[in-house]
Amino acid sequence: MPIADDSKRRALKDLLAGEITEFSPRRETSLNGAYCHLLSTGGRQWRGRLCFAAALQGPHPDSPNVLQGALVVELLHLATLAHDDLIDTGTMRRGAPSVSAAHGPHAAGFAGSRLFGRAVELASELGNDALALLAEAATNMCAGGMLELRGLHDVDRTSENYFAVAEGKTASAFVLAAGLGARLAGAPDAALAAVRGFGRDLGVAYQIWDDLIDLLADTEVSGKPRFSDVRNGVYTLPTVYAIEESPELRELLLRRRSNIDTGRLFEILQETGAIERARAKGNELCDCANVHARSMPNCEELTLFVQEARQRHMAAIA
Amino acid sequence: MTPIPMNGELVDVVVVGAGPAGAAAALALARRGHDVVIVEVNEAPYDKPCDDVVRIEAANTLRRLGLEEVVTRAIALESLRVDHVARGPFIRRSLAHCGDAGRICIPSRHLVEALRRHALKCGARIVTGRVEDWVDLHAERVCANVRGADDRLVRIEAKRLVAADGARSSMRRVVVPAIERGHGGWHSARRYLHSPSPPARELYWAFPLTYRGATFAGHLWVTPVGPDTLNVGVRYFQERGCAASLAIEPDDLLDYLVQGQLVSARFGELRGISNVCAEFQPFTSPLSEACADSVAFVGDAAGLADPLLGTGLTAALLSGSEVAREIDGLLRHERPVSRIAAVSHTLRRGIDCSLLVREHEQLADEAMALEAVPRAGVPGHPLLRRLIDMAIVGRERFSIAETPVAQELGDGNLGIATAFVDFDRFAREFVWTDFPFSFELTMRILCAQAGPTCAAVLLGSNIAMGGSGDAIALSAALAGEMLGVASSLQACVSPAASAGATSLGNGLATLMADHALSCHLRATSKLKPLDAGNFARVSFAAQDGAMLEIDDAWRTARSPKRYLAAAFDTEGALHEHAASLGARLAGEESNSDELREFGRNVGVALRIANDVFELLAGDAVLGTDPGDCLRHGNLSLPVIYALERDPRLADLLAPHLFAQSREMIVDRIRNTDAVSRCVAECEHYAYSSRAALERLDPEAANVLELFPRLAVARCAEVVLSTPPHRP
Repeated sequence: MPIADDSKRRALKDLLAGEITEFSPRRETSLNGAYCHLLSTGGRQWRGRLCFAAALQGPHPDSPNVLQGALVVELLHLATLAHDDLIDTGTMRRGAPSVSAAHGPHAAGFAGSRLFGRAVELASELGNDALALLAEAATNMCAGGMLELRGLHDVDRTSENYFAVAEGKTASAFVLAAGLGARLAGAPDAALAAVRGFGRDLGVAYQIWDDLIDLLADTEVSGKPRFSDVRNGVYTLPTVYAIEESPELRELLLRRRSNIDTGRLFEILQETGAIERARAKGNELCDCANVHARSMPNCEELTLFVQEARQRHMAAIA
Repeated sequence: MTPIPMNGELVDVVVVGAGPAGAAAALALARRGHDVVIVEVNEAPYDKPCDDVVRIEAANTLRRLGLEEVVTRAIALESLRVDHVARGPFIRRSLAHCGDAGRICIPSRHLVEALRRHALKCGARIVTGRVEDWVDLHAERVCANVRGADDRLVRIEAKRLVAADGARSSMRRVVVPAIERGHGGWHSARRYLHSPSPPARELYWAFPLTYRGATFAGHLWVTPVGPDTLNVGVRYFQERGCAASLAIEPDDLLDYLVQGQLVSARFGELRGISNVCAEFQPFTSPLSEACADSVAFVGDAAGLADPLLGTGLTAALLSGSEVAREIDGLLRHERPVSRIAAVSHTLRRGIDCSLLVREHEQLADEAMALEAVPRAGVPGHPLLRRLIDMAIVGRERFSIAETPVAQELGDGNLGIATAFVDFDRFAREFVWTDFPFSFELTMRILCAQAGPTCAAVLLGSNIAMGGSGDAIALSAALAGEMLGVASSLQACVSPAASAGATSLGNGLATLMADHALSCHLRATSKLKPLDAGNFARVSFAAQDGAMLEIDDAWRTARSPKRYLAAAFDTEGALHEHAASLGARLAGEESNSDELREFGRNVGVALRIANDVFELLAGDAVLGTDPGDCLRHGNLSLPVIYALERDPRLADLLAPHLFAQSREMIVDRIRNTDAVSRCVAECEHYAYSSRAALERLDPEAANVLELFPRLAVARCAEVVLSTPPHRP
């Protein structure tokens, strides 16, 4: 069963497409190409759909404001994609060259900022509450990103550090999506807090799945080179767990920073059960998200949302 | 003669280098009963080319190490700092007023000898030799292979290693980048040295030294050591792998100074200076915080050399003894390993911070003394005046809480004092404090650069329209600045992003830009939503303008029109927004068109003035030299105009030629009428902005009129400080 109804998802897709067709550049610069490239990135719009699902907690789930909120969330997400690729020098994104690879780092940076500006513009039409939520999410994302940068290549990275980064960098967008949906649909404060908790737990789980995909899935499935996290010095949850168990892996990573024997890495990940442990952690977080959901009345959409997100990701790493 | 360590012997600590830092560390450790081996390349005694000045903190350290007698014999100094500030008049001043009275002179050679002697007395051993390689065995043990004077290889194992092998430390993983600074004070040195009786004053400055056909960045000092003796020294930093320092005999140096053609070529005749002058060079090179698990870096090897205030010797002594104390605790199992790294880091920060604070306090004073901008009797609000000062000095924000500004204003207006604190808090929040220091520094500088005029314009219009310049206006002002900062940061992203080496830098720049935008948003979310929407649109303009500029990099065919388009989009839009927002926050809507026009034109006028400045005078805040702004191919208005007159200049404007041809480019631009045309252009926009003011209430116009005047005054300053154009 689809999450939220199809008409809303289509409406969101149309809005995103409209952003491109109605984009009238102020002047001809290399920013414009990068901007449109970014807008046409596509994706499953998990965050926008979460916005719709959370809106069911309020009396006006079908308000046009909710739709605009979903658009804000998606735009913010796209903006962060551009900047993420700049930060970790990702050259592939969803199977195609990333914006920074295709248009250069400056254009990618400015295009990302422009999208962020567009999100701000749209959010400002939704009132100060929406703006404040957006500002909070954006600040937390940066703080998470910074925490991650500072812990690159750190073989002593703790799982707490990992969760703090995931909460900032990834889950902030989910928290924002859930919060905006509930707020713009007129949900009470209690529901707002609950959906935000839901968003946080699901967001962290999402990050764990994403990291598992990097370790387990082929390029055709993930759209980016396998093991790119470890190569970039980002030691994700499975790796952190594996290091805890295996001094050999610790040495391996210490000795060879960029040129890692990924075959051996993979063996160690399996031998130590780190992958299973990370997967279990993801499931545990889903359960937590569901606990939040069940504290609210119309929770069905939210629990289905968790279920679909989990299934999709599990399929990718099966 | 001390017993030489046996091959494979395990000692407590190996200290590499017996200069001031190494000898201090060795002495401190030996006094605490540890088994210390010093490895030193040179046979004693050797004379280290360095200055002879020690600050009072370090003098106390020496006392604690039992060198009381050395301190007692030292000469107290009255320090003279030679400054050239804000590219205007040359000013000379004593350092005493900024709390720098406690400096004493100890000839470094005596100092090092005394430290070594005491260390040996306390049981340390010294080996003449060179550390060929070393292995850090992760927090447990360090193993160093030492090639002795007799060419024998000895392997020494130690629980800890202190690397004190100087600025060109081969032990350090990250080498201090070559320090490249602008012109020096040749002329002043000549005068100083020729003056009949040098007083107890020291001179210190950084400069590029051209010696035997090669250019080195370095610094030079003149310190009176005794009644008949001067310590005249030169030190330079060059590419990795070359000799560490070059001692020039004072006579040779004098000769060189007198004959050096640089003197007249750079300065022409000095204007109205009585005795001593030279150019002040801020020191902003990023230095590494170098440390490993079992290895601590001290002194110059840790990047603690400070060619600006001459605290190298002080920092060496302090870091040596501090690190020794940490290692002592560690060997006694009282402290965790990471403390050593923390101490290194803190020392580095402390030195940078004290530098900045002092610099900025002085500059604030200088700004008041500057006559180029006639501010005496300027009408308007004290806060506004202060902000304009900030706009000129551009760095007030470094330590606004430490300055008496808040209290000073508090007497008259509590609300504004609070606003200032808010401003500061906001600025602090914006800059992550636990950041790699050099990056934080860059951020702060960028922040100080991008913002104050914009904030001042906003506040100016706010005050002019009857507002009180309250906290919300200040947050809004800062928010506006953040946009500028975000654009500047993204422009900093290196085009070679895919090269792994730069990716962290790019990542940081991008993240900081995002953080700037988020902060901007957080401030605006407190305003009316309408204003947030406006900010978004201003940010679109700023991004477009910045992109246009990057698209036009190195394009010698760039037209004035495209330059102006970018200027209108960036500074123009920001100031336009600032002016109208200020008025709206003060509840004034009716004059908004005039104010927008005013802001737009003022922004462009300021932009032109800044571009002329950066190109011809360098930037004291960023520590750049004339022409450095061309490094990434930003061909600003003066370059475009110069190209119209001198088309062959285009041959020099290419990325790969830039390093050699920078000075020549600036000279060739000076030799055209580009500067005067830019001044005319700046005046044109300043005039247009004034015209917009004519429709406003005269009292309001009076306050706002300061801004076009500021722009023109800046331009005028360049004209004053650059040699006239030779037709």
